[in-house]
Amino acid sequence: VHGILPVIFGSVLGALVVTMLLSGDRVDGPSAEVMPTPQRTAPSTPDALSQPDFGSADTVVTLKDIPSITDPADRREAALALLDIYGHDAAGIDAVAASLPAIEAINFRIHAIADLGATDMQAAFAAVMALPDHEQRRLTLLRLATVLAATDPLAAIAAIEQIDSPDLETAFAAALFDAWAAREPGRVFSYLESADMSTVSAIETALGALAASDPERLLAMVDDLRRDIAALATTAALESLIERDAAAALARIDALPPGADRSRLERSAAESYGEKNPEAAWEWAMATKATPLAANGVVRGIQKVDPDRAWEIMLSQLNSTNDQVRAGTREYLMNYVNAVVNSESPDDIVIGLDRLLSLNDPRVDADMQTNIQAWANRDPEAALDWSLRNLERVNSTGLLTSLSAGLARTNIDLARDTIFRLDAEQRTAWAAGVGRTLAETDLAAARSWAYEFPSGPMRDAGIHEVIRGEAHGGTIDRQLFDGFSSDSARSEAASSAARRFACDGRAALAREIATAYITDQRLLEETERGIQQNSNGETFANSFFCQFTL
Amino acid sequence: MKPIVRFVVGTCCGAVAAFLYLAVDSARSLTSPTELAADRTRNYADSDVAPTVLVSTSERAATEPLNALREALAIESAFTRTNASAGVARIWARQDPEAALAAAAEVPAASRSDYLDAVAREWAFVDPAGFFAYAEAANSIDELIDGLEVLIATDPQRVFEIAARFNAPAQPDIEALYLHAVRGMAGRDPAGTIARLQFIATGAQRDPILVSIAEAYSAIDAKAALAWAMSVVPPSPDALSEVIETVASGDLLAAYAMLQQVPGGGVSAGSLGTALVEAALRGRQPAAPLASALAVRAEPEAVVLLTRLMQQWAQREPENAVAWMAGNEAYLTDELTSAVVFNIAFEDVSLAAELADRVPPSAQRQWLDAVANRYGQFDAEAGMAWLARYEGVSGYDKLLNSLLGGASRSSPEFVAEYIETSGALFDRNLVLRTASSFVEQNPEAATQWAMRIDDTEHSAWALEGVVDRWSQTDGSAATRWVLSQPRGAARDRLLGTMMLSSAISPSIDPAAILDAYASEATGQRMLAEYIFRATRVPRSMLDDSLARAEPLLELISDPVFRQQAEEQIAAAR
Repeated sequence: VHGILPVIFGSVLGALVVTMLLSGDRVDGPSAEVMPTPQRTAPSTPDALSQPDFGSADTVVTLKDIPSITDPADRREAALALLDIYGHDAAGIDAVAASLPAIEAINFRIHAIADLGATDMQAAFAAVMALPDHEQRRLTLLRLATVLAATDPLAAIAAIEQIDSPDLETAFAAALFDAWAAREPGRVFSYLESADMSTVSAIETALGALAASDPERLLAMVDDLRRDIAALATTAALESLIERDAAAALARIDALPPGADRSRLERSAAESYGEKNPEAAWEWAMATKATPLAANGVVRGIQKVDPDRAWEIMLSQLNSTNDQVRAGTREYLMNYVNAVVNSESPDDIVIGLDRLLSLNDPRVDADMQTNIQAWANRDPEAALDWSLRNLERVNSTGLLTSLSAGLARTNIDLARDTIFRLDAEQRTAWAAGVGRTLAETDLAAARSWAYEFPSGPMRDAGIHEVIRGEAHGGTIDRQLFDGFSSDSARSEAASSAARRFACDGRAALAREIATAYITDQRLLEETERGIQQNSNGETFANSFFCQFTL
Repeated sequence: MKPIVRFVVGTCCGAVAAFLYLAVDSARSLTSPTELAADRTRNYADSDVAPTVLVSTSERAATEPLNALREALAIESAFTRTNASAGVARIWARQDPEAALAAAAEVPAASRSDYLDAVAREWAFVDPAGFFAYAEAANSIDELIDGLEVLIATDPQRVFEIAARFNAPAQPDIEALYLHAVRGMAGRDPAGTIARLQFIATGAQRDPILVSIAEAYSAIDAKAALAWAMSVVPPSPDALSEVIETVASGDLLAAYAMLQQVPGGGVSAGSLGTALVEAALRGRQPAAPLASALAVRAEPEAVVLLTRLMQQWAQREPENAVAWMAGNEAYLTDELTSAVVFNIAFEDVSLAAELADRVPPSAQRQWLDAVANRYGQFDAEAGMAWLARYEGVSGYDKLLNSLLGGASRSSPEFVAEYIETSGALFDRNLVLRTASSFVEQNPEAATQWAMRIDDTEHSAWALEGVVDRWSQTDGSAATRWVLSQPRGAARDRLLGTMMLSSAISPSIDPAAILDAYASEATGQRMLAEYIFRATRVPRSMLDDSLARAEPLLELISDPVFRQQAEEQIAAAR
């Protein structure tokens, strides 16, 4: 025992000397008061690499210096660095925040708490919960999630339950998995493969990154995921495979169980294949006798990159000697119309629609109307130009109203003036659309505009839209009903207002309006039936009517 | 060994040990960004190489942002490219945000909005004053929305003012920002926000504004929010719903109790059930205890809520939902079973088939029927293979009809062949539906099939279905084919079908085929029936329909039929 003592003493002494020599200020560093050399704690993201180092010898700052730093990013960085002196707790953050312009204080606080997460997660969570309002807590948690994804994602997952608000908990978990999967998809896979999946939530946001990283691995684990997440994971993985090798993805999709998911993925894969490799995709569709759904998907994809080739294929299919091919193609003609209308180039849309009209198929004309309405919402002026050239083929009240409502949203003056480019019988439908858009944002303007027209159908259409808009807001100016030029127009407007009130649970008012202003007996009965349905509780059709029709 | 030698050896060992300890400790506590980045790269699995690229572009962005952006945009993987571009955007936004925004022109359209969003978010986060000033002077805030979202935490009212300047119905992103700002304001000061916005909230904008207030208010004080939502004049069921939905995200049963407090007012479990259940499941409330708690209550509203719960639970955890059914057979109704099986079979019919054995006996028949129908819809041949196991079992014929019914639209040729060759008896509607779908695909094959069927009743139904649909899709071809059939009672039936079908879809002129009837009485009866149907079309089609029907009155020779037809037209007008 005595023989070992010199060795022990020697070891202790040696260790002490080396420790003192190597760690210097770690052992007895200066206090903050003596030497204020603030240094940022570990940066939370690689982006922080670009920030100046306010802890270096030539950039020492104090609280008093903060207001004189003119660049906001530098000011933020300096303020964060000062927390090493004043402390990362509430008092320290308050002290430093007070030196900043008031408008920057909240974001600084959020930044400081999120960065604190890198070294003291529990303190960061406590600081989040002490923030005064929901929005600040939400933003801080989103930022904290990114920091924790880089430092200790597993601890962060364990801490999710600490968040007492369900929507904040979901938002934090989603942001955490999203950020973690973007940085370390392999580790997220390992975690998910070993976790009890019944306790894991909000991984939906990570699926895109996981699928981009290793779709096969994601597919291999779907059986362990909750059913609804498994469906999303399968979709994400296969969409990633489609990007890489659409033909192989199609083979995988074919092996999926029958159901809506398989149909959707099949079409999506076929579309991607058609876009990436038109000729190979079409050859595949022919060789495998692809379903009409998949064949249509290929044509949709080809339409994006080579509209002429897509049209050539459509014509060959529509003129096929095989009845089934012709029938299948006709069945999906609406999808093709939709693909044309969604072309990126306005010229391709116009050429494509003109070609479709040349088919002289009445069903195409009908299909077009819905799609042109969608086009009108996106590009009202182009849709208007084309429609005006082809009004004899696509003329419908609904289309004109939709076109004018869409145009009024982007160019109200043009929408108003276009009325005078139309034939008399088309003007009422047009006026209704303009009135509808005006009434959505400015009831007074809609009302004045309606009364600019002489008494007649156009004014009636405008007043109808004002009444519809007012009814949505829960009140109605009954004098408006005196402005109609006909009983039928008044009845229609009253019916729509009454149904709106009934949808909002105000059956008595709805009945009163209906009885007072609807003179058409059949419409009155129809309206009363609708009101009654609302009073009795909801039917699906009635609920749909309330949500989407009125 | 002498003590001094031992002491020296000990000293050396201690020194080495201390040195090694400090070296390892130092490696554990890397603090420089470069070290951290290098450390991260070292520890990644093969699939985690992307962050190395992110670090590289971020480093370059500090000194040459434009080149860093170009480097990021050249990355092959779309996912990494988006992340790297966003990383550059953030760094550039701190240095020179306006230049960073202008550089968006370099970014391909598909990634541009991600890039711009990253610039806006970071700029707003680091420099709220500069960002606000820029947004307030801008002619458009389309590129600034994400930044303004960030600033709702700082000054929701100022964001509200900016969003209000640009808010229009066709701008869903701006509308969402506007309402988010309302939530931000209400989250800080519900009473003040209500007082301020109640005058703005009119017309179509009223409900969305009130809903936003309700959402924020109920997160602070659900009871007070409920009292406010109930006091709103005119009533706003949407605002009331929002309060209850927010409560449901924390406690579905508490939300149900709240629902009981607001009878009428446009809010019910029927209108709100799906949203309440979604909120509860999103909030990770366990479904089984909720289902059991709702099941024991007798109120109709609880049953509605339970149905919605089962529907969504089955979508998420089909096995658990079926296990609950097995343990609670006494509470099962057709509606509940239907709620569970509907989505499972729609998403994955083979899973629904697998689970059938676990379904309690009283619900088995209904379950299998739904599975058979879905199999028919998605994969009739696989369905027939599955159905084989039930052959000889009571109820097999019904399952077969369900399967074929499901397939009649998607695979009419398959069903047609089965009807023709099996010799079994089938439901009239199934034959009609099959014929209708078949003729859409292949009129020639469909007519031949309908004529070929041995069973006269089945053949007549098939012909009826073929002619009914064909006359709507290609009236002249259908007319030619019908007129090519031998004159007589059978052809008269087809002419009648065609005539009635054209009352809805005017592809045939009834007057043109009136003389083709072998029996004049049948023709007259059908013409009167045509006029009756023409007066029963939807309101939007009524004027056109009556305009076609009216001239036909003079072709009705029977005075009684004619008078009835005139009266019907007059009543419809």
